Amino acid sequence: MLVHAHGIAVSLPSGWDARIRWAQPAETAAPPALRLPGVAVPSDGTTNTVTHIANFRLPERRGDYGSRAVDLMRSRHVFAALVEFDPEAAETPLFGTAGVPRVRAARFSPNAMQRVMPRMCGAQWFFHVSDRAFCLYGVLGSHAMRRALAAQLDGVVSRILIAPR
Amino acid sequence: MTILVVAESIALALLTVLVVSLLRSHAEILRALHDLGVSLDPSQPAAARTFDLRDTATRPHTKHSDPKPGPLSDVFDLMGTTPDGEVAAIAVANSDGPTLLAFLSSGCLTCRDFWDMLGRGETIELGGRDASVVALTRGPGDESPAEVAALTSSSLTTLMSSEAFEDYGVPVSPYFVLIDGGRVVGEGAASSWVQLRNLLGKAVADGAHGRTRRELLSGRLRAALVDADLRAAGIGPDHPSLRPDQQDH
Repeated sequence: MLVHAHGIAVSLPSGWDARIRWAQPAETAAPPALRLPGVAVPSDGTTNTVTHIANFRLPERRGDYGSRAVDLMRSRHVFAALVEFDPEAAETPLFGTAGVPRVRAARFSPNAMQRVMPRMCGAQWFFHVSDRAFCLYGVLGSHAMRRALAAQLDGVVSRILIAPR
Repeated sequence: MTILVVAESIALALLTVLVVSLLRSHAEILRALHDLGVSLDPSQPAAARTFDLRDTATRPHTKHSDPKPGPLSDVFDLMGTTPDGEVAAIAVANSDGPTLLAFLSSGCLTCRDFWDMLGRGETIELGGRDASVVALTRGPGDESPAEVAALTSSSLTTLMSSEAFEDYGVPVSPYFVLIDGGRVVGEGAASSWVQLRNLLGKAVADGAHGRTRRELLSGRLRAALVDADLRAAGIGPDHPSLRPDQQDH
């Protein structure tokens, strides 16, 4: 199933949900758990996109980085949030990596979650595509099964296409 | 010689049909690529993983999921927008647990009770499992997002999608479809919550005998069932009651 909006296209396998919306301008550009010391992320109030993909039914109320959705996850579930930042951020070193990243199990850690949850793990990537800056935040329902789950998530993330704004 | 000419003519005709089919398929592929904004212009530099999309924020592109194999491929994943404008794709065909699709509208008074019940978290239980609920209205071109937003609740998954009404052949609102294991196990119109529970309860019971309501309603098994009932009553194809002209003699 193909879902696309605002220049972002996601090709979903059977059994996956996806949501794409405009996010409200935030006072902080990154959640506290992911903010890097000494790094300033441009935030001029531009309305940016938030994309959520998951292999489980997404709840209606969700935070940009998946709060409330992550609470529903079981061991076989995966979730990813693709959060867009202001265009100026694409020129900063933090977002210097070009292209949608590959999701590898080795990047996931129980300590890399926005909120540490038992037996789960998370990972984040910062990158730019088509002069647009993004943070990809992935959550796996089981750290023990991260190889299989990361491969599932990579299969979907690798098919994300992003056009210029 | 004549036979040879005829054989060659037949082969030529078959080849012509094949070529036309291939050209048509190629045209459809090109059209789909164009809709995705993929440029096939060789003069443009290759840009992996980037492409030019037309703005489709107000017109979500609908693609059906591959139907489950079997004689009744009548379960479709959902695609549309939420009342607040979020583009949403919701898996139904291969989702965990049963799903209740509630086809409602903002204009029908009978729907108001269902909006209230579903907004409070009411659902249908199937084999000890609560069905997850998706409330559906027609798309923003046919329904007012503001009016739908006023009826739904923040906890109720609500999708505006005219395509869903077409996919499921919904004849009227309110209308309900219960899906489990990739199959429609019950469906129908109901004017009250009690009536809905009774309707779907019977449908589930029918499903326990290997037949779904959709199978019965669509007639694909109905003919076989009718024949079986007639034979059980001693009425076969040669029964006199089926030949009124012979009865007159």
